[in-house]
Amino acid sequence: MSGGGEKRPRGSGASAESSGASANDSEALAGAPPGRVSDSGLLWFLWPDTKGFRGILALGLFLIVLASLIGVILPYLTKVAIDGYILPLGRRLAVDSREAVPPELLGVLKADDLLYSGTPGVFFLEPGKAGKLDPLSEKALIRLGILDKDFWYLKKRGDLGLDPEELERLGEESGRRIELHPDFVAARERDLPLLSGSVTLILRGADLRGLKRLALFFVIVMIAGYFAELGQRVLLETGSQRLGHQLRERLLIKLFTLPQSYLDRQEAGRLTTRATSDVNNVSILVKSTASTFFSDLLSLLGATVVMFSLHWKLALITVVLSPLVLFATRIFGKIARTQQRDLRSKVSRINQLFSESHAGMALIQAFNREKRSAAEFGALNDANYRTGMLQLRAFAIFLPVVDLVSSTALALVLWFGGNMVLENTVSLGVLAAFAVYCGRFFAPIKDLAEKMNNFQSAFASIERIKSVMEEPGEEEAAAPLPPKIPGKTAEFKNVSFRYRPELPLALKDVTFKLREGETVALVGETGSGKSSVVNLMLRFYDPERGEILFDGVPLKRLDLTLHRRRVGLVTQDVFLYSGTVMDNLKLGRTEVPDRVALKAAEAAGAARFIEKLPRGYLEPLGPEGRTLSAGERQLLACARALVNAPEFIILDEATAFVDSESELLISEAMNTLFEGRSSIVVAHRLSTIRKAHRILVFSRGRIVEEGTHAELVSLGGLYHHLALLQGLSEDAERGFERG
Amino acid sequence: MDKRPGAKAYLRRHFRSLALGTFTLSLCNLLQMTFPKLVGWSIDILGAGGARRGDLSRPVLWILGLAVAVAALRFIWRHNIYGFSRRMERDLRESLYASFVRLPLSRQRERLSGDVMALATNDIEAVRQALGYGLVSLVDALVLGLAAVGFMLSISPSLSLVAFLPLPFITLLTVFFAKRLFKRVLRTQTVFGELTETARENIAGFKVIRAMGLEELSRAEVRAKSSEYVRANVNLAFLTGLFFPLLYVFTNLSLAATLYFGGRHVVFGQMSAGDFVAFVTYLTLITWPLMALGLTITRLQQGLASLKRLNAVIMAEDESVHPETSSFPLPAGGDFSVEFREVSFVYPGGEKKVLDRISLKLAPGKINALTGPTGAGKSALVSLLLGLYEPSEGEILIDGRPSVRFPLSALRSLFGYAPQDGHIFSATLRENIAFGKPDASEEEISEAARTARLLLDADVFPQGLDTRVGEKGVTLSGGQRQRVALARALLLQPPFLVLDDALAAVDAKVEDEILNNLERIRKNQGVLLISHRLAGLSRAERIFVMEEGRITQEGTFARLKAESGYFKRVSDLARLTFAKEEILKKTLSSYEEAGS
Repeated sequence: MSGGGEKRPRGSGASAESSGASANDSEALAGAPPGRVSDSGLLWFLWPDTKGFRGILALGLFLIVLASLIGVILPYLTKVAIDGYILPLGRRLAVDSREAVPPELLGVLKADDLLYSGTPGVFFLEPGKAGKLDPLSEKALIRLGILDKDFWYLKKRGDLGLDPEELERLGEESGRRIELHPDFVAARERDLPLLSGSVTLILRGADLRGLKRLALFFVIVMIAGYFAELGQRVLLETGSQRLGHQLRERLLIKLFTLPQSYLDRQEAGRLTTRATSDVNNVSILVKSTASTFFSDLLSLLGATVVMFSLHWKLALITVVLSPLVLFATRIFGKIARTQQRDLRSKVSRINQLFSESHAGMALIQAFNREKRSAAEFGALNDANYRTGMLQLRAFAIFLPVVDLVSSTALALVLWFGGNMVLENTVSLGVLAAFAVYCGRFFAPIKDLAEKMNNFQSAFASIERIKSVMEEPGEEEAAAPLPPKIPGKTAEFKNVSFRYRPELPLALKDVTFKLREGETVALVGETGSGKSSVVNLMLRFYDPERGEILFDGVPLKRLDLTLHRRRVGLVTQDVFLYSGTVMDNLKLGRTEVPDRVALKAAEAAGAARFIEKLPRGYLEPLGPEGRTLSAGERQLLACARALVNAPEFIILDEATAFVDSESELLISEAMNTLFEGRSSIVVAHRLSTIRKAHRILVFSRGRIVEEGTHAELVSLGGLYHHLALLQGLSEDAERGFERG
Repeated sequence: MDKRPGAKAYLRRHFRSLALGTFTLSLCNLLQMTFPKLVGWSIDILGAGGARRGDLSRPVLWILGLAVAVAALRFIWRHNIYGFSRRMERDLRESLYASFVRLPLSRQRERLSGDVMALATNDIEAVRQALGYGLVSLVDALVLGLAAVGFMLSISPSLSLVAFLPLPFITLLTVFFAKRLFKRVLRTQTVFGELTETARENIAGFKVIRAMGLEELSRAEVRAKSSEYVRANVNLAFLTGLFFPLLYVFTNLSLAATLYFGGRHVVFGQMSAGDFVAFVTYLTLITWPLMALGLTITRLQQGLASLKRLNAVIMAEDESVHPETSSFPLPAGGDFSVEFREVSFVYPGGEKKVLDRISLKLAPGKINALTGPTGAGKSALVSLLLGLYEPSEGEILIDGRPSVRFPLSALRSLFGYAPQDGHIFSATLRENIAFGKPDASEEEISEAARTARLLLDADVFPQGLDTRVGEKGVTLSGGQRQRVALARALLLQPPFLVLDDALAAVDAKVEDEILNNLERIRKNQGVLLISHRLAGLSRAERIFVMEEGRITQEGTFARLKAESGYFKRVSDLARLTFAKEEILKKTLSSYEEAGS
């Protein structure tokens, strides 16, 4: 399939196929710098994830081999049709015996290849062998009067399936143009058209039947090839995608074990890229390694082997220029990668500017910025165009250069090979074959060169995924202790803490005790340290100095999962999952009976609004379902916490504006939450603070005041004034997300 | 507003590269078809007998010469055709953006809501693909296909007929599959987008997820999307697996027919063997162009459809009711009157009356406040005031004149506007503040930042005003964003300041300071303050309470507090007390000193 142009990717309309992938390829290029590449050990990293569908992959590989085999068979069948049925042309030799032919003139042929016709003095060369006579020997043999200069149609007598009389009649009807020998029937090629239609039909009947059989066989093989190809594509896609799926799963599991400080350092977007684009690159790599790479390598190897076995000198001449292609590929690859990255970032800037402008359209228009924004956009757009043109130029130089090398190799082969033919060291047939193999040799090289860049980015992706997988997980105690059940008290002992070494202390020497069944409110401005206390209690971080104890046991020594499970956390961000209200109450814990969830919803005062929903507890929520108001979300969050029957409650009070009715319900829900549980509440509303037994007032990482509401108000200090201002209630710089 | 050129004009502008590219591509294709002939020539020379060493130099030199020519032509056509598609892309995108920012919000809402990004990305890309790859494969199909067909017809018309019989099916098949194929490609892209979003959400929410022990649920969610993505890809692979090998089936069917019938021709002496071989060679040559034709047709169709959509936005008529130029002087100071008269408003495409016969008069040169529950229509009122939308009924009077008689830019230059979300652009802090006045001096910017209580501390903004903020820079908190937005509005020193709940995310203490600053520098500037906080509202000369699109209460702070209604309910609920700000400040600062 050597069509005219050079711009199409291998294998037909890959345009549609690759368009989905290419975006992701280049995405990876824009990511972290490609690490050490070419480590084939990286592929072993993927091996465990192929568990469960190795059979699929193996079958896919087998079908690839089958499909490429069929791809080779089809052209071969064409050759068989021509040589075997359409024009089985042999040669006629007039010699007394095989030995009378000078052996040096036979070249690659042996004396035994001459077939005796049964008529003395007449020998034949079979069609397949006739072509092996090289042109110079051929001329010499003709000059010696041994070889007939014409080609001869040749058929074994038995193959015709005619009885002797019929044959005699045929010979006569043909005007003696058909020679009848005891073993063979023969006719000069140039006489064939002169035979009458009926004679031809009889003489060539077997050939015509053979041709028909062959054409049918051709169609059958082709259909088999079709299914092999279909199967191969579906199986490899399934395999590579399932590998990606496994990898994604493994990555996510890993991410959940990583310490919060690591997650703080990484942007969520970057980690997301690991699980999406990078994983995708791996899938594509596996798929294309299996299909393209594999078959390219096979055909390259095949062409090379055939060429060297035909004629090693000529093979060397063909191959000698290939390092030039590799060299060009290296240089081009480097340039292309930089440009690709550049282009990628410009395109994403453009898209970002577009979406930002879309979102900020009111501002652009209200500030009369239309012209200026358009000019700024124009400049960026133009820069993108110029980069695009640079990339275009690189491609416009590289691709023709590769073809030029391939054409030059062809010219070299023809020149040197032609002279070898004249020197009689190479046959014409071999030279003709080399002209074909020259193209067959360079096509996969070109293809591989183009793919190399993709492979590199895929390897870089694996490397990046691997580095995440190799991050140390959260520090767990060597022999974690199960938390005491039921948990009752918590204590901070001289705790100092900072989020990162370069940041100032977030907590300074904080000491307090949470007694059994007590509710403690944390009050203070944004950044005063309230959220840090919550973060430490859940052990997202470890303190720099001091110690945190739960029921007298250091938090560091507790089993983390069990510890977090017994703490009921109610945050401002209420995550709604796709699923029903009931699913959202149970949060994936299917073992929880419905009545427990119902009771919790009742206790938290959420039942009222849930029952008002059209489908009640079965109403779908989440991205594709109903949206809840801020107040409803809060109630749901309280109910959720109760479902789990927690021993501690940590509540980060929402600051969002809720209507007064919801406000009242939430306030009641809190009463239920706090009842009988040791609770910490990051409070913003006076009404909440007043539920607390004790209030800790934070300022700049320290506890500056402590006491009941009445005590603190009478103290006339910071709390008093914060309370007066009441602005606390709308402290929307959400502390819990502090990172 | 000047008229922008549409796609046709751009086509004319870049016609030269299009023509040159198409010509060189055709020439290149034709030259390429001579290579097999040259090889044949060399073989013929060698086979003829009596050949000498130098005899091959002519065909070999021809091959080399043609190879160089083909390489040069390829460079030229690539540069011109792909260059053409890139130039079209650039011009269309620039036009699109320029038209887009000028299109009234009402039009954007009704016509393009949401799919602006699709226009800017998918459609532009589709046009570029059609004009680049689409064009190239079209020329390929036509030139290579026609040339090969010509050769084949000259060899044997009857055999050509047989050989061509299966070929139209290829094109038909492609047309049939291409749409479904593109649909599935699009589907994988969409699911990939969703998967990315789901993964991002879950990764960003790790902390909460972990704290609440939701790992299983979160994994299940990502797993579900991931499975969907796997399915979408396998579905696509199934379709491509059905389709692409089928193309080979049809070309091979053609080959099988040629083998059988052509073979018979040769057997019966109606065709020479050489012609037969040549015929088969040409048959394999036209396979690709024919296969490409189907994809090309689809690609071109999609490109055209995209071009149509783009052009519709680019060429959109300006339907503004506002005049181009002003026939009267603009109010000089800030103490002009603003009056809403029986104004009703329905969002384009909506049904609900967001504003329902609103009539109000703002106190000129004073602070006016607007409050009310969320969804009452406060922001809609602001949008109308700024001329972002036009009222469905009634009119707005500025300085006694209907606002529709002001040119839009003049009308908007009267107002400084700070929205609730404090929209931040991915740019430097300076660019964000100097958004409406890009040539503002360093002092002006610092002054505006100071008034907005935006502290340019080095630990928040390491490069000061030149710190990048937004998506790829420093992430700002809600309060910081609002302060940037406020500084942005203040920098303009507008006659009238509109603060649409613009301090809601700022600490109460800081809000207090900002409002103090504002009152200090205000002079006779008019202010419309939308707020829920009573501390802010208490500073207003006049307060309007809005509920469900209507003004339900109006008056001074003291009066409204006494009157039964929304205002009283809210203030009672909060149990507010107001201390004297001097005492408050003193205590606060003394605690800060103690704390550090």
